[in-house]
Amino acid sequence: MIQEIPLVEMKNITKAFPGAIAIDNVDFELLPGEIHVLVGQNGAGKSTLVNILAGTIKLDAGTIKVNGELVKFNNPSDAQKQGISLVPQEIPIFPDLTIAENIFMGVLPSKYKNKIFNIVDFKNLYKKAELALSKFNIHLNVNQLAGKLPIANQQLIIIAKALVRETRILIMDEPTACLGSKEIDILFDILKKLCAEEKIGIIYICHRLEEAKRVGHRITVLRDSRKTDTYDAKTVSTTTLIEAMTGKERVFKNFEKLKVTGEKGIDIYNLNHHRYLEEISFNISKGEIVGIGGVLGSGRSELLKIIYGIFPLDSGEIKIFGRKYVPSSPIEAIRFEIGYLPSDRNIEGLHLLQDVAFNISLPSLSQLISKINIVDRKKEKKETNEVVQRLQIKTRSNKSPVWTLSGGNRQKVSVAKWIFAKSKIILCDEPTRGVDVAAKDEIYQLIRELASRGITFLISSPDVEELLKVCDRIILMKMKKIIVDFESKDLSEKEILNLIL
Amino acid sequence: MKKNVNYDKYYFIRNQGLLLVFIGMFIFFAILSPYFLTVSNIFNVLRQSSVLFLLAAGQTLVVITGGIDLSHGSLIGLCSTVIGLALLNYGFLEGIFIGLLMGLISGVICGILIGWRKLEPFIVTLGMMFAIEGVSLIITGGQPVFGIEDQVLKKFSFIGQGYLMKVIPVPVIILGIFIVIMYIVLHRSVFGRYILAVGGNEVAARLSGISISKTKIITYSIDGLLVGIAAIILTSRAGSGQPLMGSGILLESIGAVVVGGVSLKGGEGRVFQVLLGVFFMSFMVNGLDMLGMSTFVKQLLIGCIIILGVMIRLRKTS
Repeated sequence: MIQEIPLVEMKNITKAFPGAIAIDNVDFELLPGEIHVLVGQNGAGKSTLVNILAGTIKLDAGTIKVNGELVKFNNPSDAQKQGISLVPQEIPIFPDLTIAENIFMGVLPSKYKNKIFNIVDFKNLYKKAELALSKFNIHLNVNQLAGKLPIANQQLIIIAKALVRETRILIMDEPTACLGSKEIDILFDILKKLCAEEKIGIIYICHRLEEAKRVGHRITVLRDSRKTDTYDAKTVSTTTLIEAMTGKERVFKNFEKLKVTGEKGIDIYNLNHHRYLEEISFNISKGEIVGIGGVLGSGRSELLKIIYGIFPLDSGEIKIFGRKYVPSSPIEAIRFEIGYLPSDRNIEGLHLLQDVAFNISLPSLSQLISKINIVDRKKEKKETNEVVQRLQIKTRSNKSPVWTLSGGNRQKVSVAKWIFAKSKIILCDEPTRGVDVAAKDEIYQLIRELASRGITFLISSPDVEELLKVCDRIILMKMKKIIVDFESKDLSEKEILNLIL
Repeated sequence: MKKNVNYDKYYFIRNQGLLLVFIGMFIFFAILSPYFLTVSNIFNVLRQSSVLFLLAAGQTLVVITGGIDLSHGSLIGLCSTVIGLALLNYGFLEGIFIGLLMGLISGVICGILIGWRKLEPFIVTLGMMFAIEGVSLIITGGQPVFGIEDQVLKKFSFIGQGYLMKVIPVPVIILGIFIVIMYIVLHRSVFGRYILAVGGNEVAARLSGISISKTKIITYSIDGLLVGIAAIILTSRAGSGQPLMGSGILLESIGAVVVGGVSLKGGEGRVFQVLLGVFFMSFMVNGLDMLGMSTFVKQLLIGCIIILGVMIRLRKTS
């Protein structure tokens, strides 16, 4: 592979978003027939880098060469014309169209050679689709609906879709997050075959290091928006990679450990869910902040959703403050004084068009009613104002609609909901996603302060730094199971990454 | 549109804009027609508005939750039919009771199908529209229900044709009462908060502990009940049960909601908007009548006004 013209050569790529630099002076190279793995912690800049290459994000500075020629991408279709395809984490499939139609959508073969009677030549279409899939050694009826396929096969369809468009450079963003180990084997065989036979280059973002070493030829590590180094996947050790990802040993303990009274909080025995959880058991005392770490698909966010009653539970027992609790719906969870902050607050957590007071008082309007279910608006104004001030939410007034607030303040509104509802337990899924650095620290402080007043927190996060910063105890999950449960001062960032990756 | 506009101010200007157009139209008609601005004409328009407001109010509740109710017109026909039959065979109170009950039953059925079985509101109410009309035609064979006893009819027609203190028509009193009730339901009650929450963001509402199905079932039930009341007024005015009474009225009620500026996407809506939409439609139709405009031209103008209403709304969201 020496002296070949690289498929992609990115030099001095820099991209800044308001408030943060996402990619700082990064070089990247991809050779024909190579699988080049990108690893790095959350927020290291992996996604930004590939999105720049796929044309979805414009770069601030730097050059991109494809096949040795300088190119400039203004939009995704520019990149597609150069043979670059991105397979995102959420698979963009048309569930109600057939496999063949999915693969050839946009380039469907026409029966006649004119624009007026543009009728699809289905015979030809199915033949071509079967041919496209035969490269993968899988046999599917190309006439069936794509939405009925398992996710692993849907992924292959998207890859096939990219290949029929003469893709030379395939970018895959965490393709294995939702796959089982057998499906991963199949996918890797296919990827390796594609590289060897068709000389395609693949950029592969992943979170599991063993996978990176298994599938990749080279591994590039990103850390804090910069490139650390590129390693040969055959020879590099996992320890070296983790060292490269974390940098020098950092100590995050800015807070004093909270005193825990030892009163019972959440007790969980042997929780099972056929897709997400296996034999989960742990106990949390009242007023404790416990973090749940793990990569995407490890079951950490699903655990919170199951406790909150969004997903049904297969078996297991939960006790809240010693009382038996059967999760059935959020209504039941709220009755047990549990609150939940979803990871995507704009879509799942807030009513953006409504004002701050509306959002804060929504789960606990029963506190505010006088007679016959009429909301006491004076009381509402007074009490929501108190919460707004206590959490220092920056808003013009509590009658401003929530969409006018910044990300950090929106998250505070979601917290305020449960403070106002007097929840004793708050489940947070990625509490600082999409929040800028300064606001992150504010939210951490807020969580610490609330915990010191006896509110129990269960925080799920993919971000090890976040867990170490805010939690006293951390539970790590991998492949649906708890792998370790420890006091956060006992393990370092590196040791944690070693366990979850 | 300038950027960084204060949201609240913007909102106010938009509503006031519609109000200004309404006032402008009012003055225009008042100048051109000497009869337009007489007490009897104004009360006459208000009396006609009362039915439209009841329907538009029900429609608004449904629209706020993100749905739509297409069954208004045929439900009025069925309610009118059964009211007529009840008046004929039983009496005054039974007539009123059965009208309300019929509306409620239809609303509950829609609510259960939409809220609990999670079917598409458009399809459910479209089906209901045909089914209900079928039922009233089966019952009556397409003929109006005549022959109600004079004594019963006299009492009953007071609702739609009577006057309080010899000036104020009874439907106008009903209108006033329901404006207040709707204001309380939508802007003061817990239920009002819940429908805004469900329509604005169903997932977030569910995670906040609101029962989506319960909220929707109650919404469609109230909607049905309001249609029942509207049917009582209309039947009282007609003096007989009319199975085809509601034809055409559905589109007027949706039109009033849209012109008022309630978003069909759901999640927002105010009583003030509905009221303005209703008055806009009624006074415009009346004014054009006064000017001797033909029904055909009227039709054309109403269509244009509805599209204009949507355009105003779109400018706001962009």
